[in-house]
Amino acid sequence: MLTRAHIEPYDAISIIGMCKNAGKTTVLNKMLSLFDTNTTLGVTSIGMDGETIDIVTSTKKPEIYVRANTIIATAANLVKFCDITKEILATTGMLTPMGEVAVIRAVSDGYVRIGGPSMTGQLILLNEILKKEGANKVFIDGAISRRSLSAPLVSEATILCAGASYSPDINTLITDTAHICELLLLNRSERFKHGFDKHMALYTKDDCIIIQRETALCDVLRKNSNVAAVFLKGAVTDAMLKPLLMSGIKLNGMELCAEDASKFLISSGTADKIKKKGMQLTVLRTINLIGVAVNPFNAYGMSLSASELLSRMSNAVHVPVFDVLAGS
Amino acid sequence: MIDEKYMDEIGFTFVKNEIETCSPYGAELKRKLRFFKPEERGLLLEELENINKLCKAQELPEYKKISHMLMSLKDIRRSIVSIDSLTLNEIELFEIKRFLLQLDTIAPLFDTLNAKLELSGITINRISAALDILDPEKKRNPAFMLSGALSEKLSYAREQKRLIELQINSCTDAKRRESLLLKRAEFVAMEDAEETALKRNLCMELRPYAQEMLSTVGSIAKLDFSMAKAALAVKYGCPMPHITDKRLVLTNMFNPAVAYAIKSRSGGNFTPLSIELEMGASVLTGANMGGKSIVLYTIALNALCIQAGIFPFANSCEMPLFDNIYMVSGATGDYNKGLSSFGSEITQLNDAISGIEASGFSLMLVDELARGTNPDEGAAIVKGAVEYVCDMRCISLFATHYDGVAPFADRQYRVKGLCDTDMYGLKKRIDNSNKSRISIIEEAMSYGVYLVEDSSIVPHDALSICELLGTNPLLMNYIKKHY
Repeated sequence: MLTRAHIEPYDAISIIGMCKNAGKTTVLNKMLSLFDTNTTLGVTSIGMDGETIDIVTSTKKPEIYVRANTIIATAANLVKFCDITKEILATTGMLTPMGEVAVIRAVSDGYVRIGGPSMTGQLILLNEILKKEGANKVFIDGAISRRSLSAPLVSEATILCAGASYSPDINTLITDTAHICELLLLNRSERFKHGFDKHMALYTKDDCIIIQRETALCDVLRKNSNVAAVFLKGAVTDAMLKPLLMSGIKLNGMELCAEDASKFLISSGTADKIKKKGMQLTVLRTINLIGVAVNPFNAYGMSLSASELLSRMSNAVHVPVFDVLAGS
Repeated sequence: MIDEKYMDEIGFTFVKNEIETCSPYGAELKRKLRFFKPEERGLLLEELENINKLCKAQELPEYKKISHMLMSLKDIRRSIVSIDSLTLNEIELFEIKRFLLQLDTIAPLFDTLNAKLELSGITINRISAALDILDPEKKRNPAFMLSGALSEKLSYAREQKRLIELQINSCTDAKRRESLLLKRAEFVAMEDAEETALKRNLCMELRPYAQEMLSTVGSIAKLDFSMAKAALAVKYGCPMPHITDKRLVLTNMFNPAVAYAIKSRSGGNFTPLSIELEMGASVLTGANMGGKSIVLYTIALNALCIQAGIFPFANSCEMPLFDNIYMVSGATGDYNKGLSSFGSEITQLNDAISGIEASGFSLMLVDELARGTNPDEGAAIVKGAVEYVCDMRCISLFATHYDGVAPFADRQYRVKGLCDTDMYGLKKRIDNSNKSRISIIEEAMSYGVYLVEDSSIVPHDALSICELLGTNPLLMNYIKKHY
């Protein structure tokens, strides 16, 4: 079960999901309920959240319920859907399709709809504004596939939500969640201490070569022998790695480093092949994944067995696993 | 005021971009920059006088504090305008309260500044009565909330809501929780209805102050824009211009856009230019590469700046106000209109002349008219145009290459070019240097202009420049044969 002790040490915690309806809002509500009004909580979201019916899939969704004294950052047009008694603290100048993001103190308990900015830079700034207005702890609710907000610049700790809505097949859900967890838990690079503005950087035995122009990884490794490590700026995708894996270039012992885990957009199949070839993935900034929250409820029907999901997921990943519906 | 296509070329866009306003209100005045018409002379003088005073106030502490405060302003005009017809929501009311609070800081600072400067046409006062409506308890903190003190019903609904929420928090039974939530919803609805009524009342009470808020915003915009223009004048050492009826005198004028380009290209400096023009036609002759076009651009730029209430780029300046400024140049061909460069400049000339005939007093700057046509006809066209324009209600300057135009004009200027240069020495320098020929000639070129007393002596710099640029000697012989 998710307890206060899990999140107590961190000032900013983000919640990310494997898919829509993965149970992020349930986890957020759980986290909100763990604190009494003595702790001022801050809540925002990437994109829109808290609506009663999912506007994409038309399925019923849980609403976000906050206690008095919580500070929320939400878009102006969503304020009318919040039934808390409101004290407007600030406007931020950050624009969303739902209007400018405003910072509001809940003077009473109540339901809120949260729609925050969608750019990492704005979230970092918003985090600071929430703290300046008095929030001791900030929770950031993610939207579908927005793993980028787990980036350590935005939050200190991250909870990954994996729900039955991802796939009716429990094996797929577990394998894919384990794969994402593995990426999120990648180690920090020993060789690359800082990033490069340029496209790519190579460590050979005695040199660090910086490649300015967009060049295929394969071609670069063919031209340069004895490469011990490669740093890639921006996203690392299947399409970039597949030609490399098929090229016959010796990859055993080579390190491939990205800025952070959210930049590795690779499938579990590709990750397996990389592992088999003996290549090691690393990151500049690690993500602090503090747990996986599983949700056996499938918004589209065919829910899974809670106990089976909990136990099998616990065996598959190396972080604590919580059942989001437990106790509710 | 001037054809839009010349804004970049004469350097006006550059100058506009150099004006750095602090508030969104000032930024809008800059974006929608207006040019004062001759009949608005009084308004323009008021603006110029304000800028002149602000130039001297740059180091005052209240000046700096005001610019700092202006940066924190947000554009809330839409909310102010909406007070008249709509009920504002909490966020809009919050923004109006914040503006009124900011005004509480800006107004006394402006009073102190204005006691020293006596600026005209700018009034910034506190609107405390409006602020009291949004902050009846006079706490003066920036947060905004519809206070329960304003309505008994509201405070009752909130209290009931709070009591139910306490029960919800301690409730473990799902069914009971459900019924408590339903009960809560009743009071939420009551709270919402009361809040809506309260917001409507607040807007009604604010309505009488909307006009005052808008006019204060107007004054803030004016102050911000004038302060930005003053900062620009200080940066470039621009003087307060003297507005005349007919005379145009620019002493040591310069073009900041061209000066910037020269500086970043070769590290060189812009040679200041001085010129005096009166009603009628003047001609400007002189060497190729001598900067004739720059003289025209810089005059146009300064005339335009003054009519926009921007201090001129010169050491001193006397300038009349024009109804229109016309540039006529074949260099900016309207190829997209299907006109050749000749067609384009003749069309521009026609438009300018009919414009001058139709409207009041204009400035016309003509760059190398008919340069693309055969010299005999070209010279005839220029002579005709100069002679015709001499009697028109305008100040005009024709830059031209053609010999024999000057006698038809009221006065003649010539760019100095290479006339004072030791040609033999220059040639030697070119032969012995590994710098490009063009850059050495540019260095030797004198970009000043002078008034020509005897227009019969025509310098033939083109031949010298061909030689200096290393034209094939055999070709040179052929050219000289035809001189």
